Amino acid sequence: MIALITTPANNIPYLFAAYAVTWAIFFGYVFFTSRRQHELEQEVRLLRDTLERGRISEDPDASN
Amino acid sequence: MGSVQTDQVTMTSSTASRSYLGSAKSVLLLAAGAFMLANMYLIFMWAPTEAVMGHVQRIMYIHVPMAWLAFLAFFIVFVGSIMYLWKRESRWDMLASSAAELGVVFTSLVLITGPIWGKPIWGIWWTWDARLTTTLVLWLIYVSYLMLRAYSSNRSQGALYSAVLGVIGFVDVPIVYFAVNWWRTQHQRLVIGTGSLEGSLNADMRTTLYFSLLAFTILFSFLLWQKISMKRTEEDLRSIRYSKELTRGARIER
Amino acid sequence: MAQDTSGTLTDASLPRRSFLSGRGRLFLVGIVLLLALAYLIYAAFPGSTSYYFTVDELAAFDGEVEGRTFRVKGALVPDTFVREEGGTMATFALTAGDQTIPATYDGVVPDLFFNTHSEIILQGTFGVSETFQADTVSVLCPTKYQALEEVTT
Repeated sequence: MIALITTPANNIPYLFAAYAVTWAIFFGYVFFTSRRQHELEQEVRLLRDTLERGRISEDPDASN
Repeated sequence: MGSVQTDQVTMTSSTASRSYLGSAKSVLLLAAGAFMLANMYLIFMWAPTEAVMGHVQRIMYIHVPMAWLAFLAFFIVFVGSIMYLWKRESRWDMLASSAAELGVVFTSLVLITGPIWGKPIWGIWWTWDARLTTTLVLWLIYVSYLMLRAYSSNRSQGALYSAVLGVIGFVDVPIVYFAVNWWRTQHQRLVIGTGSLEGSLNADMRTTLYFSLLAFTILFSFLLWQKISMKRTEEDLRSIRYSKELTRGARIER
Repeated sequence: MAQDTSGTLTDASLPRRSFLSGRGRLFLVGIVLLLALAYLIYAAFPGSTSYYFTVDELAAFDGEVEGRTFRVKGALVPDTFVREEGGTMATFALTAGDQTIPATYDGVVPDLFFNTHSEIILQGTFGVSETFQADTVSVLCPTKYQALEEVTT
């Protein structure tokens, strides 16, 4: 059993690298997805406003 | 929710109910964050150090759950694809394609963390054994699934072709899973679940692994929900942009 | 879940990025898929994917050996590892119980190479002698994951 204690201690950088890469990718993914979602929601809001204005005025060129 | 009653536009009621869902989604994101923090505590402070491999073995607690969730993602693709082929409703296509994207993200991370673990223990980054090769094939199948969608000139055709691939491609999932039992591999055999050797994983390590799976499952659920709601918004936008009412009533400024 | 618009995937959607022509793209995807499926079929034949021989199997191998690349798995025979003075060339022997294979390797061996519980895989060829010349040395993971405290106490 003595031989088992020769645990390699110099592999910490690998452990760090694996977690760093994983979290970087997850955070990046969540960030870009959220930003895209936000952009889309803004566009929906814009469209709804445009639609409403178009309805009230009944004028095709009102939104200009 | 005072804004709902005054709205006349048909879009709005569904948008309002979605903002409810939006807050539920935030709760899910918070839960994912909290569970992940607890998970990191278990992994780095509580779980014992492995006797032969040392600290680097802690990569297992993300490598293995991410692989399981990739399998789950591809199972969702499989089910969504069958339902789309049967019902031809775009919501099944949205479910399948969202899950496929997540499956590719998770498989990519498995393929990245694997070699980082392999180098200090095996002495090599990569080898063409059955487990590693079938996993790379799995990744290629679902990358081509996404490419097929992105590059097909016709949306409904892309949905149809990718659904066929989503059904066929799933064949590789059990092959990847059982590869370590069916063939001689460089890769570690199963230490947990069906086909694993009894007692091949220390009890505290097993507890940590299961907790990590739970934490990653919550994260996965959030990401899937986020992705699906994004695809729904995109489709809403497409349908408004081309609705007759709009082209008659107003011009859109972007 | 779905809106009224469900099921209507219109062609007149967002503008597409241009990358190859439509057929070229599908062709590319097709090639990737064919390669993937070809491998799956190949992998489905158990005989064709014997990743390694054990030392005993390799000793009993009666086919043509010269020039062929093998992978062989075994345990390091204790006290056989010798590195030449001031060089990088190492000689050692692998065993699987009955048979032993002498081997050489020029390079740095993995950390767990000398662990008495390690199983080692060599990839290489037989030279002019009976010595196995390894190009790659790798170590298999332990089959059991144990806590450090478990084995030291």
